[in-house]
Amino acid sequence: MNTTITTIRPTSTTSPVVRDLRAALRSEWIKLRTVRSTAIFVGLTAVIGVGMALILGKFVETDPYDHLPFTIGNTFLVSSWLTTLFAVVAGTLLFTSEVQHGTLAGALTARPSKRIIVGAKAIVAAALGFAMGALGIVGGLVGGLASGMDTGDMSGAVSGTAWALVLTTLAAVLGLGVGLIIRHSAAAVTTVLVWALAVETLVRGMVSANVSRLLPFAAAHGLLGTRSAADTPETLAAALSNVQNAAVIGCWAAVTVAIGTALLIRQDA
Amino acid sequence: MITVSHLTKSYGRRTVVDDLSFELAAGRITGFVGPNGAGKSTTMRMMVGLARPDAGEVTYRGASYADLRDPARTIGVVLDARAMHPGRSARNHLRAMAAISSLPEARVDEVLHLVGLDAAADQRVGGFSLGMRQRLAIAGALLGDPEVLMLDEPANGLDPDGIRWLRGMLTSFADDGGTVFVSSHFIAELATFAHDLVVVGNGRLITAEPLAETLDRDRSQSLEDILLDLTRDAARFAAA
Repeated sequence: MNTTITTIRPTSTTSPVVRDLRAALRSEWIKLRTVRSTAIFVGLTAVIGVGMALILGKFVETDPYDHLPFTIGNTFLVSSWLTTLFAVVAGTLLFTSEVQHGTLAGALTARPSKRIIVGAKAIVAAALGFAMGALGIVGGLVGGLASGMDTGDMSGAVSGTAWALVLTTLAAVLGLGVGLIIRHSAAAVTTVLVWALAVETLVRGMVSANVSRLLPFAAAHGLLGTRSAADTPETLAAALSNVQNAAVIGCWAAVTVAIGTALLIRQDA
Repeated sequence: MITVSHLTKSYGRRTVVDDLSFELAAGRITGFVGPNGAGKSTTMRMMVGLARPDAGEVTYRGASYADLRDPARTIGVVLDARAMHPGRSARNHLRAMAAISSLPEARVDEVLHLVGLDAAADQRVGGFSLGMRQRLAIAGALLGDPEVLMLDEPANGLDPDGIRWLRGMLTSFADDGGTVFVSSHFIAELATFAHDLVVVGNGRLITAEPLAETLDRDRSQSLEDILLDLTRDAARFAAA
């Protein structure tokens, strides 16, 4: 065997699950930080946050619905919807790119527990979604300040920020779940975007308000306090609270990850 | 000692590995040969838990792969040299592998040096030749200083110097007591350093024996000719 310069430490006595999860997390973190696409996604959310706030403050200036001037208080979260979509896509690619490049097999030969691998990816997805959300919000603040908008009413800023971060965090995990189920990058990303931007709106038009509010992106709009094309007086009247909306998205994320994990365990790597 | 017992695997109606049994001994290099589609890669994937057998088992000194506490320290695997993210550098590729196996990061530079990729360590894998990817894949297999090396066609893409290096590395590994299980279509090359052969065809074992016994079948023929005769009826994709 090889001449080893570095002493490889003897096997640890920590609980195997904890030890394996820590190792998988370290590996997932390295993988995330060492590809350009991560920096691109994260950078884009900041740029979009700045850009959207700047455009609203400098060029649009007043809300077309209530004809009130835009302020920092009502625009700094405006990019969060787009950030949510980016977070879902980023979460999807966390898994599908591993399948695409064949690196999943390498991870599984090193740590044969598929649950551990998925657990580590879910934690990293959540962290990525949180970071993207935070940068988008900071970008919105910076853009708002740069546009010269009035500060306006900031009384809801803290809770608004908190719920937006909950959303982007869960959105990335939801994306991971979709990626686990569909496994092909282009198909998974297309599915998620077409659902979010078109199909769910159609479905919401066909079902009752009580069912409509349980769809993931309806809950996302609810959490952000934003309007969607599918809103009607009935759906607005049946709106859930922020806690309930977060629970709906959390359930969708948990169910997709659970189904994806079950499929992964059943299938050969 | 690695024991493969009655491994069987089917995909749909096609049985790709059929009641395969053999043993791999420490300090020996075992060549794994057979025509395309004989089930070699599937067998190796089952040996490292990437595919679930329909029947049979593989044990490493009595333990299954899933029960190995630190698989990377027991067995180093190269199944597909293309299995790398093209946007990641060689060093970061190995760092991620070292991290998941709880191996010290310093080991990354050691194995890069072992395979001769020091100068390319910070280059993106997307720009690597196939030979460089093979070396990087082998570096990954060596990270845990394992007792066993399992390599699926590791010589693909290697230049003559690389093939000579690989032969020397595997021979030295076995001389130090390690177990080597290597599939290859370069029969003439295998003949120079393998101790044993496992020959499969149509998913079934044709023979598992010391290389010397295979050569004794017909001393007037090359190993390649002997193996072609042995697997003639099992070739799914034979040339006209």
